[in-house]
Amino acid sequence: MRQALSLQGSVIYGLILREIALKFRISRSGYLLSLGEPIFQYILMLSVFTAIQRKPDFGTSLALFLATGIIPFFLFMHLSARISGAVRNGGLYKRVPTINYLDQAFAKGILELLTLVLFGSLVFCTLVFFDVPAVPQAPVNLILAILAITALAFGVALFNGVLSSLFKLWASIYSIVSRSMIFFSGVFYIPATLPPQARYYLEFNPMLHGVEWFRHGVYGNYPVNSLDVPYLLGWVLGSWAMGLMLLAALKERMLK
Amino acid sequence: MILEFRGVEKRSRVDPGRPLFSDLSFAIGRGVSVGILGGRGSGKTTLIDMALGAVPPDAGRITRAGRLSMPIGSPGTLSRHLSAEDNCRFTARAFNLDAESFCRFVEKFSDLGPLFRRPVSYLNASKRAQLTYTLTYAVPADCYVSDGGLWNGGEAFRERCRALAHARRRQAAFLFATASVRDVSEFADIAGVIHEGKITFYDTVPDAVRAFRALGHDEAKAGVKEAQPRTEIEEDDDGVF
Repeated sequence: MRQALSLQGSVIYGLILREIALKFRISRSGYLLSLGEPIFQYILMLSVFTAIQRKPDFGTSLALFLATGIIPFFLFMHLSARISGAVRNGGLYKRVPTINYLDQAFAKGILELLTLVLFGSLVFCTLVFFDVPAVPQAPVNLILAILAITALAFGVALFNGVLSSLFKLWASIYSIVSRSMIFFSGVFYIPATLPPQARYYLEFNPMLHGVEWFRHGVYGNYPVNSLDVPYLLGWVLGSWAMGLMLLAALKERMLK
Repeated sequence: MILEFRGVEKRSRVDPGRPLFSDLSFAIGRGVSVGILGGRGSGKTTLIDMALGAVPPDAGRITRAGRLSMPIGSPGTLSRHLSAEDNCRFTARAFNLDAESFCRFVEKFSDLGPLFRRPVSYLNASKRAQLTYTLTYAVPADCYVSDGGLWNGGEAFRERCRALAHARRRQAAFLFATASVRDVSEFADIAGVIHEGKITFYDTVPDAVRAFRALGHDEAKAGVKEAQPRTEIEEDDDGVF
């Protein structure tokens, strides 16, 4: 048992280091380059909203408000995309007997999580440097929110990875859908300002709750009328259960 | 028992109407070297893939009671973008071995010189074989598995590799599928022949070789000089970014 655990740990650790080495192969700054995309998108969005003189829906800083929306959203989107890719093609599983089917997905997920946490910390540190009150007021909630979003991303990616390995079109559909979810996840607005009808429908989106929870963790006094933690956790459990069941049922077909 | 096939059925992937194996049952005990002779398209690769669990059988059971190797001479853990050294380090971690001594052994045995620290894509076929064969034999296993050759590479390396294979054979079992009568005669304790979805095992290795030849498989005629395993390295990722 202990031996099996030590092997599992060694495999995941090795896979993470290999993934980093592969990122660095393009250039010395290859890993930083993968940080570049979210930073670029954040700055672009901030510039556009500043140019049209948009006021933040909550708090005094537009930069902080956007950051608290976009960081949890990117966390979900990038993680789920990365992991579902690894689930879809199985990777080294077929070539190396000690590597289990989901090992590479876990390794990629962990590395992506670390990258995005680094990106988030960078943004928050920069904001603090410019005197924005960006120090998280409810850090425990913030960490719980990050964990819940990570778990949701894994579950959804598991489900998607299996489906898209069998139906090639699914991967493209999901990629479009997940990118457009940015408009329905409360990234640029807070649900409290929306008409009740719109809110009712948006609250079905689990990521809306993820963003709400994250904001609560940062601001401390953020109004969490829409936040439904059991609903979000229900999605986490549901997506894991569905994903694992699909994988168990269809793994043989995926390998053929 | 290290590996056991019981009632295994498998249809061809390319041509689902054609059964590759029907009711296939055999077992490999500790330390026994089993050579399976088969012509082109007889299902050698599928047999090995099923043994490794990379391809599921359509019916029946395959049980593994020991550590199986990566297919000998196969790309296994390799990424062609990384240096042989980085690949070694990863391989050691993937099998929970001491990375330093593992790397030192592979570096010395594969004899790649300064190329050991360059990306694997820089290696020519023969140098690449030196790396893959060393790497797959360097990992301890209870049963080494091969879909093709047992040794390869440049002249001097080939002989050392053959000696290493024989040393491994004293410690572990082997399952290798090949069209090479010479490899089977030299290396197998027990030999079988794949023919029409069945594997027939013979009392002695020369009997199996005779049966294989009787089926019209003649190495000289078929032009099979050496069985070559798949050496091209497919990337396991659809993009790093």
